[in-house]
Amino acid sequence: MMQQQDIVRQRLPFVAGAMFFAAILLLLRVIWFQFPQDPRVAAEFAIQRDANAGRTERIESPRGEIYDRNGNPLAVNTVQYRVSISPNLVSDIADTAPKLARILPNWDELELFTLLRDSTNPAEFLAVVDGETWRQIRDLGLDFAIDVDRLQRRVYPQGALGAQVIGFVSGIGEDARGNYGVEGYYQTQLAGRFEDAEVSNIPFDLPEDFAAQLESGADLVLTIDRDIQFLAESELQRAITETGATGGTIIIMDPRNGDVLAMASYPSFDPNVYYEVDNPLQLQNPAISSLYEPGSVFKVLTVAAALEVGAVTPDWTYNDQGVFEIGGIRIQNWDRRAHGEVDVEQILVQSLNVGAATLAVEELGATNFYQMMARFGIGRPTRIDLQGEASGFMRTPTDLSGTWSESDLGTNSFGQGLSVTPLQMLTAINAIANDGIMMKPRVVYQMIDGDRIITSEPQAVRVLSAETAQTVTDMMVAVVQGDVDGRAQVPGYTIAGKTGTAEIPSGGSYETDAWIMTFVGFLPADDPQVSVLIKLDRPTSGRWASEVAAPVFSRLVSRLVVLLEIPTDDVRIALESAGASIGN
Amino acid sequence: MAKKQSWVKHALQRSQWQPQREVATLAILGFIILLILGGVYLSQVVNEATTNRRLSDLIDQRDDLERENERLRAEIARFKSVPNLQTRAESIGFVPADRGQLEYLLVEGYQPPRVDTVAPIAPPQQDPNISTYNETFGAWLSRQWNNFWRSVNELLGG
Repeated sequence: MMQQQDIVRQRLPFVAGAMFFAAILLLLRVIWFQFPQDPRVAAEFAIQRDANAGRTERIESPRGEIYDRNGNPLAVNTVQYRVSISPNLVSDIADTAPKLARILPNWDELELFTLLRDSTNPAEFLAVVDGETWRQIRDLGLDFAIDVDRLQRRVYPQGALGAQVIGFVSGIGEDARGNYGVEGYYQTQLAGRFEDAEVSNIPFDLPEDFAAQLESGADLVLTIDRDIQFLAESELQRAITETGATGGTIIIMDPRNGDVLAMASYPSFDPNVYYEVDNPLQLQNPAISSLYEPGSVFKVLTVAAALEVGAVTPDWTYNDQGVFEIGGIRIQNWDRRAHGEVDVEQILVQSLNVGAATLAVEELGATNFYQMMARFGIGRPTRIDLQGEASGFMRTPTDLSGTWSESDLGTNSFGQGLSVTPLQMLTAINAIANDGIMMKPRVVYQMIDGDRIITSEPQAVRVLSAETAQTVTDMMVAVVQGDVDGRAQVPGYTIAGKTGTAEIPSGGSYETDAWIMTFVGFLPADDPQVSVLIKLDRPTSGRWASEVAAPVFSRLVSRLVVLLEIPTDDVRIALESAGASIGN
Repeated sequence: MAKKQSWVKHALQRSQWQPQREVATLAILGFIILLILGGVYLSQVVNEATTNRRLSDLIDQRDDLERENERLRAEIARFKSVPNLQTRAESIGFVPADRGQLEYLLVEGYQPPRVDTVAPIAPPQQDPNISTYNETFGAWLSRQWNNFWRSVNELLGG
């Protein structure tokens, strides 16, 4: 017996040693198996691991918001919830169907009951709901049976206000794209960021706050003033109704820095329901994309060019015979009359086509005229930060197409035979208001990207001397104080302005019974703080812009000076002489 | 009974089992320590899981509140839109101010927050695409003639 125990005692270490050795071998094998060199095996392990321990979720940060210059929100985000249900995971259909039907108005109880009972699909779509409705569904405690996707939705709380400047967002999730306006132009900066995040399924793991890590899109602060935009849109709507125009545009700018304070066009749309618009052209912004022949407003640029290059002085006169022939065409005044000896100012006051053509053809010459028009930016985009800007069109003698002729110089001088956008026209006039310095128009004032605030730098180019600008301003004041354009006056304020009644080209000639009527002006004339362009398409209430567009300008400016707190001239001069600093 | 006593005595007196008892005692002690460590570990894990769950709930709650906040901001902005404000103001008796009703006061020492525009001003530039126009009448006539024939040729060719 003792011998057997001795034998066991002697053999036991060997057996234990052998088992320990075998265990070490197995352990080494397991380690070797866990850390294979083959990347295909490693990839397979990674898939297996991820499938069990975690899942990949697409994390989305919100799109940047858009505010007006006073911080009023113009475009914000809300979340909607796309709710689906897995019928096979609903334990008590008879109880669930009526509860859900009470929350979801587009489902009735019977429909839901039938769906939950009969459907063999793994998931059935129920509805896209707001946060409050989703909370009610979640509180039903259906847990695994309910599946929800969060959808970022762009909301424009001001409705149609400023729609053509703001643009709209189409698509959802990663397919969301800004279209037109600042939404389109700043799509890259505004867009929310998307990332794949590995989310752990293990409840012991520390949850990661992916949403806080992902930067949202940059916010934009516009130069647009919501109240002035509303005023512009209201006055435009009223003008359209009263004049019978088919469309129109009003732009209000600060000529000192190029800020667009308001930009309204009719017809417009509500960006919340942009898809309800029948004609896609309605989604564009006519203030920057619609080309038209500016007509007599353009004479201001011709006069400014002639004075700037020294071709004439303000005392220069010519003998107006009512007709001017150039390149085989006859140019006549709007009233078909001869006006005798006329000076430069009277060319503008009486809006004489013959005078403008005489200045351009006989005094300026083609090279000077087109060089000066190029300085004013005619025929090229203003590079405003809005999507969809058109260039405009102006033939020049050195065009490769060779289609320019001398008659073009004659007609271009009073705004025919070339096309501009309303914004181009106002930007050029702003150069006169701003002592000869033309500011690049801008709509975005600041971009707020996380902790960084980037302010848009004004860009300026001198196109006229200050003396020329002042001389032309004085002439434009005389225009508004004269008989022809006198309806643009606002009591108490000195206004510089000019009307334009432009014919509409059609099939190689011009329509005989329709016109585009514009008025461009700025005030106070001695220290301009605001400039306005009114454009009405095909109005029927009058034949001339002085009858149709000028009164609209007057009415708009009467309200505008209140909003911008611009005192009447006498009050302003009195305040300034008392040492006050006025302006905004 | 005597037989039983002798078995116990016999078992206790077996001096050769002494080391096994020590091993067993050590193993039990080790097991108890492991048990305590396991308990502590489990307690930690439970605490951590509870905290993580709570944290996760708080993150969800924060996200919900942020979304609700966004929704409310949008709703407030809608209520504060100009047409709504105008309607509300008119309903309680306000009327739009006329420019004649405004009074401007001189406030000693007050400087309005006016931001002067400071931008480098580029000098006027010549457009290189518009060169001096010095075409003679003959050259113009020739250009028109060439354009005419080009149009005719295009017409015939097309």
